[in-house]
Formats: sequence, structure tokens, C-alpha cells
Amino acid sequence: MRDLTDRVEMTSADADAVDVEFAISGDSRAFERLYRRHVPRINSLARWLLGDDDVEDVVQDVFVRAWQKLGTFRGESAWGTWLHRLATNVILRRRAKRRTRADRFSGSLADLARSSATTSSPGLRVDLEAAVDGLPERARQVFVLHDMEGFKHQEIADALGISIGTSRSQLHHARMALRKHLEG
Amino acid sequence: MSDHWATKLSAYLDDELAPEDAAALEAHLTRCEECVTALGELRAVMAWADSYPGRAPATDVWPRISARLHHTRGGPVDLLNERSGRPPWLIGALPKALAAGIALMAVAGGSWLLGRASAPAVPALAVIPVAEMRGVPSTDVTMLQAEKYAAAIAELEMALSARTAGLDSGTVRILNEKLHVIDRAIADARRALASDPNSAYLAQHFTRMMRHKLILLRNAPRFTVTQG
Repeated sequence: MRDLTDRVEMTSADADAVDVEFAISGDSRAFERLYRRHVPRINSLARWLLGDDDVEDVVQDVFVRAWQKLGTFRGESAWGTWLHRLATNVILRRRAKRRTRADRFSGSLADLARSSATTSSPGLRVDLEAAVDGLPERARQVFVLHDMEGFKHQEIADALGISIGTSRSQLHHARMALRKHLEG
Repeated sequence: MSDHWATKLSAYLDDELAPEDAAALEAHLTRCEECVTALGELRAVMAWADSYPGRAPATDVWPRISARLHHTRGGPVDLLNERSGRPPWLIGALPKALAAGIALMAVAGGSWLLGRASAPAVPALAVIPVAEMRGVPSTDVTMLQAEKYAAAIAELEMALSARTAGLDSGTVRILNEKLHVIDRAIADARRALASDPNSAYLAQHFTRMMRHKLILLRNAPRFTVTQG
């Protein structure tokens, strides 16, 4: 078996696959490892879709829900992909509950123009993460759902209660605003 | 860069432009450096978004999650109880026993599972050399990979059977039970592939299941599997 080499390192997805097996057996330590690998991005997702309020609560809800639904994971996609879909659903449901308050910050293209106008000084690396923070809420939500979570415009339109055209337009303007914050 | 072209750049990157619009934009790009720059910057933004690692919460929320897991109905242990009728103590003990069994095997039988130099002919993860893949259809490459995994798995299983004689029968039973979970997944994938042998997706799925078993066998000792 000389041709069998040890060149394949365990990827994050491999580690997830193994930990999911253990977690399904009831091993909460394995589930904690899954949590630690994925919580940074889930936390950012929650923060950008909800604002700073309730983020810790909703992150908890996401992982408790993931634990409850673990037995339904069929391995047809990477576990991380499955978790992000679940997380987005949990977060958007939470958002829907407080839509009235959120609507006050839905943002406009005028806000976007102001956001993109505050660009970095030449040569100064400006954190894109902070630039996403600075986007108007609607543009930020569309950008996060489309470019980070892989949602289609139709799905975004359904989730946010906007038209597909609005989703496309907000995405374009968000990207155009963010590109001005790239490293100079 | 006019708004006319600027508004088309994102759609172009998302492959959402009509063919004639895409062709017109591509023609424009050959003579507009500003649009080329903008296109590159938009691509960079998209790449950043795709690979963004996230930011951990300021406060670790795991302790609160952990506390809730133990009071939450419908979690993995509940699901397994419903499906198998096994008592909770056995479900919780399964990973512990698996780890203990593997540790015993490692002690009793050398480091066959850990892939250390002291064990002769240690099966490791199979990788098809790049040279072998050139000119071969992707489905064939996938199946070739699966065959190599199968060979490595067979060797691991032979090593396992040779070393289980001295183990507690309960440990062996639980270890086998764990391996059967993934064997069932492999069997399901094999059946699906048999019904649609030209499916690249099913071939990849089958290979992925094989790889998971191999990884599980090789890496189980790395995991702390005590019931939390």
C-alpha cells in the first residue's frame, strides 16, 4: 500500500463531519467544537442582520436549534452550509418579530451615497468589516445574505419583503460602496 | 465610468446579464480602464465576503448554550432514543466507549490507528497522484479515489479485527455499532450510485462517505469524547 500517503490533512469540513457523528451520539463536547469553529461567522451574521441588539441571544438560539435539528442533517451539504441556512432562518424570524423597529433603519440609496462618500485616505488600509458596519441596514442585509450566505435574489426578496429589483440594486450599491474601502 | 456601465458590473459578475449585454460590456471593458479597475475591486469585495472568517462574540456564550442543551427536548440523545429504543446511558456511553476502545487498541496493538512509524504498513488517507488524474473524466477520478479509500479502509478493518480479540465484548459491540452508522451511509450512497452510475454528484457523495469513514477511523483518538 505504498501509494497511500498521508498528504490529506483534516480540513475544517472533515473535522465537522467527524464531530457531527459524535454529537449525534449525544456528545456535547463534540458539539462545542462545532460551535467554536462556527460561532465567529454566525455572530457576525447575526450582528449584521439584526444590529447589535439581541445578538448574543440569537446566537444561543441558533446553536440550541442546531442541536435540536442535528438528527435531520443528512450530509448532502457541508455541515457549515446547513448551519448557516438554519442560522439565517432563525435570525430572519427574530428580525421579522421586530420589523417595525427595524424599518426605521431600512436605509435608502441616499444613505448609501453618504456611506460610500466616507472613503479611506489613500494608502490607508480600512477594515472592510467596519465598512460593512457602516452600510445602511437594507444594503448590509442584502450584501450579507447574497455575498456571504449565498442566497439568491428571489430568496432575499422573500426574506426581507422587498422586490428582486430592489435586492439587485441594493447589492450593487453596497458592493460599490465597499470597494472604496479596499486597501489603497 | 458612466452609470450606464457601472450598474451592469455587479450583474455581470453574478452572471445575470443577457448575453448581448454581457458582450457589450466586455467590449466596453477593452477600452475603459476605470471600469476594469472597478470590476476588479468588486471581485475583491466578493472574495472578501466569501472568505470572511467572522468575529467571535465579545462574551463567550457557550456556557449558556451548554446549560440550555441539557434542558432541551429534541436533541440528538432524544432523537436516538426515539429511533433505537436504547436507554440514554448507553447513548451517552457510546462515544466514551468508542474512545476507550480505540485507546485500548492503540495500547494493545500498537499505533495502527495513529499512523505512527512504529506500526508497519499503516494505512493512511489515499490520494490519487495528480499525474494519474490528467485526462481522466471527473467521475472516473472520483471512483478511482473511492477505490483507494476502500483499500485503505479494508486494511484498517483487518487491523481492527486482528486486535479486537483481547477487548471487552461490550466495547467491541459499541465500536461496531458506531462504525455501522457510517457503513449504512456508505451503503445508501452505493445503492444510489448503482441506480444512477453516471451521476458525478452521487459518485462524489459516495467518495465523501468513504472518506468520512477513513477520517473517523484515523482521527477518533484526537477527539475528547466524554459526555459533557
